[in-house]
Amino acid sequence: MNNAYSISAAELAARTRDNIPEELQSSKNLIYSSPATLAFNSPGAQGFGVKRAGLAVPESVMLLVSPGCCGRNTAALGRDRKYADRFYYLLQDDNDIITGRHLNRIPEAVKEICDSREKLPSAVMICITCVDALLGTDMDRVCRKCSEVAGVPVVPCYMYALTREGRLPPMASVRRSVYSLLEKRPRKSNAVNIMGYFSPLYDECELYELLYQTGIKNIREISRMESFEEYKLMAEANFNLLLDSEARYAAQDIFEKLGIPYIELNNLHSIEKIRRQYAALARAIDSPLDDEKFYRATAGNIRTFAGKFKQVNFAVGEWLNADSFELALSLLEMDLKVSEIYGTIGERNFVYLKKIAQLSPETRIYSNLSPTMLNYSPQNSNVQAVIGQDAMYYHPGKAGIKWNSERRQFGYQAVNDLLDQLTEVLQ
Amino acid sequence: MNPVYSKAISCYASDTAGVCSALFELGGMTVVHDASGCNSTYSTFDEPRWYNSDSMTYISALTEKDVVCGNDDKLIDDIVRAAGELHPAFIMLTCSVIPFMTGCDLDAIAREVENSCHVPAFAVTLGGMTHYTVGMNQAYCRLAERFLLPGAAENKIPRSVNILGATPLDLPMNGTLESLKMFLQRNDFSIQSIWSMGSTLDELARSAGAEVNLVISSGAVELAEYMFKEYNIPFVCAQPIGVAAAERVLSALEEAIKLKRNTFCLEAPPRGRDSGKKYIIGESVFARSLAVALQQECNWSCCVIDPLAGRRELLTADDLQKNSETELELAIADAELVIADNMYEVIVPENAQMLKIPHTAFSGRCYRKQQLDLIDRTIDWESLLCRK
Repeated sequence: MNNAYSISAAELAARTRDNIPEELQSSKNLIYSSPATLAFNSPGAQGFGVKRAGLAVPESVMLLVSPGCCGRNTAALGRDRKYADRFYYLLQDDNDIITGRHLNRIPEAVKEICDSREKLPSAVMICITCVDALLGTDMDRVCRKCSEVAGVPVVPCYMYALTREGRLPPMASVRRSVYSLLEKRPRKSNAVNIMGYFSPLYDECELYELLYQTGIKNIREISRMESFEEYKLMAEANFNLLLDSEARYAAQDIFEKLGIPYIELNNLHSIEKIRRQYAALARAIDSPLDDEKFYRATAGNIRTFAGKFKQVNFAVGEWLNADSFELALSLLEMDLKVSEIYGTIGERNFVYLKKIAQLSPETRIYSNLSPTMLNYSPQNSNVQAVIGQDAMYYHPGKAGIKWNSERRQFGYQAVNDLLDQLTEVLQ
Repeated sequence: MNPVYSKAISCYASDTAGVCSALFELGGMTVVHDASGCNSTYSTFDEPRWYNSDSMTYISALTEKDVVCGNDDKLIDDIVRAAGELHPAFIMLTCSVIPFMTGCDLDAIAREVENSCHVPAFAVTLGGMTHYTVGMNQAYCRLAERFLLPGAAENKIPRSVNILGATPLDLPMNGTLESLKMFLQRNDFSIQSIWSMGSTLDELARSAGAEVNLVISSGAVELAEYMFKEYNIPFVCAQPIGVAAAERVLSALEEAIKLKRNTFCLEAPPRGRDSGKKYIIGESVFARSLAVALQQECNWSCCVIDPLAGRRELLTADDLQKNSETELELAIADAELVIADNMYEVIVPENAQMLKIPHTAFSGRCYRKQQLDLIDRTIDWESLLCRK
C-alpha cells in the first residue's frame, strides 16, 4: 500500500508558491471526498452552506430550484426548529434544463408560497445551482419578476459549485445576497456591524469591549438579528468590521450602495499579530483601544501551556475555524511542536508556510483532497495531539479538539479558548 | 390549482448516489464527474458506511473552465494517475447534471482510461435527475457484463442464492442483512453472493453458479433480468418481512428453482373484509412485501404507492405510482393509515394514523436510529402505529 503524499515545509518553501506540487493542488487531481474533507465538498454538511446561510435574513424563506441530487440533504436542515417550514423545493428535470421552462414556474411558485403562509415572509431567497450557471440564467431578472408577482423582496443565492475556485465562490456570493436587502438610512457614529460569520462571536470575545471603549453603543451581527426590522438597522452602521475575507464582496457592495466603509480583520492566533491588528484598527477608526489586560492574560496562558506541553507533537487540520498554516505557525511561535499539517496551500497562506519552514523545516504538509490520503496511516506518524475535525479523523483515539464550533472565537479569546480546550484533552 | 413546488418533501437519493452505493465495497474506483455537490450529498446524507470504511469514491472537481473548454484530457489524466497509485479492481465513471447537459462522452473516456492504465473501466451516463434505483441498476449491469464468470454457471450449486440489491439506501444497517442471511440459511439455502454488501468482487463474479436470485430492491431488477437471460437464473423480487411474507418468499424461491419462473410481484389473497384506506408509500419491492405481511398478519389491505417511477411489473394492478408531493397528498387524502418514511408525515391527513418506517434513500441520515429490522420475525404491528 502506498503512503499518502506529503512534503516537508522546507522542501515546499524552497519550491516557491509558483511551483507547488500538483499533488497539493485540488484542481490537478481527482478529489478524495473523505469524511475529513467534507468541509470542502459540502460546507453545509456541518456549519453553514449556501442554503443555510441564505436563511440568515430573519423571517425569510428559501425556494431551492435544482435537480433532486443538489437539494436532497436540505431535508436534514428542515428538522432544525430554526429552519423548519422555511424550505421549499422546485425540482428540475431534463426538460426544464433543455427548454428553460422552470424559469416560468419560479414566479408562480414564489407567489404560491407567499400566499400559503399566514404571514408574508420578509424575503424569498431563491437558491439555484450549477445548472443555471451553465444556462446563463439571468436570475436578477427572474427575481424582479417574482418580486412583482408576490409583493416581497426576492433575492438569488447562487449555489454554483462550479465557481468554487473562481472570483466569486458560492460562500462569498451568498454573503453578498444576505446583506443585499439593506436599504440606505442615516448612519450613526455609534453603530458598527460585525460581518463574515453566520453565527455570533462568543460573548466573552474582547472585540466587543474594545469597541465599546471607543464609544460604540450598537454592535450588530446578522446572526443576532431576531426580526427583519432589526436586520434593517444594520444599514445605520458607521463602518463594517469584516472577520472573514469571504464577506469582502458583500462589504464592497454595501460600501457602494449604502456608503458604509469597511475594515478587514484577520482571524489570527499569534498574540503579537493580534496586538498589531488592534493597533491598526485603532488608527483606522482614530480612537485608542486598550488591549493590554487581554494581551497580558493571554501571554501568561501561553507561557503556562508551553511549559506543560512543549514536548507534544501537534497536527493541525483544515476543517477548523482558522487557516491551518496560520494556526500551525502560531503554535510554533508559542514554542510548541507541529509535525503535520493537513491543508490547502496557496497564494493566500504561502507566507505562513515560509515562516513555518524556518521554525520547523521537517513539518510534513499533506493535502486533504489528494486521492492518496486514502492510504494515510497514523501508525507512521509521531503526532500526539490534533486540532481540527479532519485531523481527529486521521488520528482516532489521540488527544484532539475539533475547533470548528458554530459559535465563533476571535482574537485573544480564541487563543485562550484554544489553549483551554487543548489543556483539557491533553491532561 | 396544483402547487408547482414541494413544500416539505425533498426527493429520493439520486442516480449517482445509487451507483456509488452499489459499488462502495467492491474495491473499484468510482469517479463522479461533477463539481462537488452530488458527491457531498451522497457522502453526508446517503452513505452510512462513509465514516467507518474507506472506499475509492472520488469526484473530478469539475470547474467552470472545464465545462466550457471540455478538458476531458484532464479528467483522463487525473483518473489514470490515481489508478496508478491506488490499483483499483475497476474504474466506474458516472456524472452529474452538468456533464450530462454538455454531452460528455463518458463511454469514450472510460475506453481511453482503460487503454492507458489497463484497468477495466466503464461508464454509466446519468444526470443526477433520476432516482437511485436507476443508478444501481445500471452500475450492477455494467459490472455483471464485465465480471461475471460464465464458467460458474456450468457448476450450479443446489439451493444457492444470490441476494441482489443490498445497499444501505434500502437496507438499514441494523442487522437486517444478517437477518436476511439467517433466514435463507435456516431454510437450507446457501448464499452464493450478495450484491453488494459483504461480498468481494470475486464472489460476485461467481454469481452465475447460483440457482436463484432474491431481488430485495427494484435497484437490482435489471441485474436479475440480465442473469436470467444470460445464465437462466430465475428470480424472486421480495423481502421476507414479518412471518407471512417470509413464508411467501420461501415458497416463491422454491417455485422459482423448480419451475424456472420469475416472481416480480409478491401477492397474497385478501383474508377478509378490511374497511378503511391504508397506503404504503415506498420502494416497490419492499412496499409490496410489507403489504403482503400486513394483509396476512393483520388483515390490513394496503395499496402500495411507488414514488420512484419504477417498473410497473413490481406492483399489482391496484397499486399506484405517484411522483410529486401534490400527487401523493391527493392520493392519500382519504387515508386512515399511512405506512411510510417519517418525512412523509407532513402530507398525511390530520386524522390518519401512521406507521413510520425510516428509509435511508428518502430521509437519509435523519431517522437512521429509528430504523427497524423487519426481516423474518414476529412483529406487533399495532404497537408501531402512531397518531399524526
